[in-house]
Amino acid sequence: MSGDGDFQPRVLAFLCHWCSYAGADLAGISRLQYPPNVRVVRVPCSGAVNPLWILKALQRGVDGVLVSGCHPGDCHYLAGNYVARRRLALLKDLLDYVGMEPGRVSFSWVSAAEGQKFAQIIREVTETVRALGPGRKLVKEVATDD
Amino acid sequence: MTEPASLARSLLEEGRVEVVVGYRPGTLPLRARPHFAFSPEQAAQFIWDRTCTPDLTVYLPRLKGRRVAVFVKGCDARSLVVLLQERQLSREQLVVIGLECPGVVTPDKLPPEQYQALTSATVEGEQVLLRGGSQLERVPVEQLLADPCRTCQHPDPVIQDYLIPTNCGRREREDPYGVVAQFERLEREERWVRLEREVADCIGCYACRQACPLCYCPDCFTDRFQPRWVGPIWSTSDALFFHLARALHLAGRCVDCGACVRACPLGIDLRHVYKRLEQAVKERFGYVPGLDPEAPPVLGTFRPEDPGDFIK
Repeated sequence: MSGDGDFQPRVLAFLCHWCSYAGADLAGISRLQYPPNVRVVRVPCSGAVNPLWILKALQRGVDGVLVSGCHPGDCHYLAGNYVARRRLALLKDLLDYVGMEPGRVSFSWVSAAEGQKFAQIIREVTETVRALGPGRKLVKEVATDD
Repeated sequence: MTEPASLARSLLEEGRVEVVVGYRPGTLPLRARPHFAFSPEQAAQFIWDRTCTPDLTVYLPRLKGRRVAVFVKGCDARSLVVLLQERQLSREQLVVIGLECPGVVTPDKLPPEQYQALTSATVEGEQVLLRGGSQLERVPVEQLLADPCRTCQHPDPVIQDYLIPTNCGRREREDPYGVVAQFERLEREERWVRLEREVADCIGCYACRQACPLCYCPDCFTDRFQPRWVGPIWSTSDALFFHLARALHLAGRCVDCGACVRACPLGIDLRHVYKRLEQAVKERFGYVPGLDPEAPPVLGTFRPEDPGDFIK
């Protein structure tokens, strides 16, 4: 990658199967345009997202991470997103405290009916991460053969 | 016979416990060491003074199911409460001997040359007597006090079956989050640079994990191969990953006993990071770890009205 103008951020999105992934699907079938910088990992529930995955993604050179689940009260497993909210709040506080840029890791609630909101969130996250530039803070600069 | 020794002796004689875990004088000045007494005779060596720094609850999960008596200071009692909350121990198997704690000393506060020149040292009241050959120096306890003791909010054990009182004066309790505020005053970029610099020396020996009473997982993420979280080629990035992940695993659990900092052979001190998470848990969820054995772990529960301001 040369100048900042050419920089295309890579955003990893952990989307809950029941809401946000379906929201992404709706955005797709509604032909809504959003930046192609997002790579989606479908997870059963936002409560299944291990905060270590997020750290690992940043270490492997992802420029931004989004975790998205069902709105409070709508969890398919009743309380997964409530548990996730506590855990991710602490991850956010920790990253803020140690000096990670705000916006590198984002969180959202997107329901299956919110295709518009999904497209909007992806636009926002991509532009935020683009403005921050390549993620480098946690990146491991060692050649590995995997 | 000292009070801890006679109490331990009677517990063993009456057959109430199989083993008593406590302190005995160490071979190095100002460092008491853990002592396990299985017979009444072995109980004679128990002591309790301000050199009894180690948190002994680290030995308890491996004694699960056995009848154990353990000496606990304020912080140790709180780590014991977390172990009980997380069902690593049962209250029935334990006899808890509480120690009212005036704060403990650590020789890490002395310059290494001075410490190496010592032949013996004793604590008398608020003074530490340092002897090196014919030299005798008196320094105030305050100077050698361990960092967590300076801000300790719960110096008295929160659970106990017996209590050994202290005759030392109590300290003024300093602001527990002073170290956090100090770090937060730095610019964001500077904070990351400081963190990197702090962990850059880390060799991944996991002494902090071994010393931690709450790092009891038999399969720690650091030891896993599929996926491999850290290493095998160790870099600062791995050190950062390890320490951030450890901090997250201790969020809402760490009781600030200081064992990890004392155990580190490279002198890495991330106490302020654990304190920040403790503060976050308190502010967001109104929870203080290690006070109530019946309370569910803070990250294993929730309230619908928990703050979600950071979520779009």
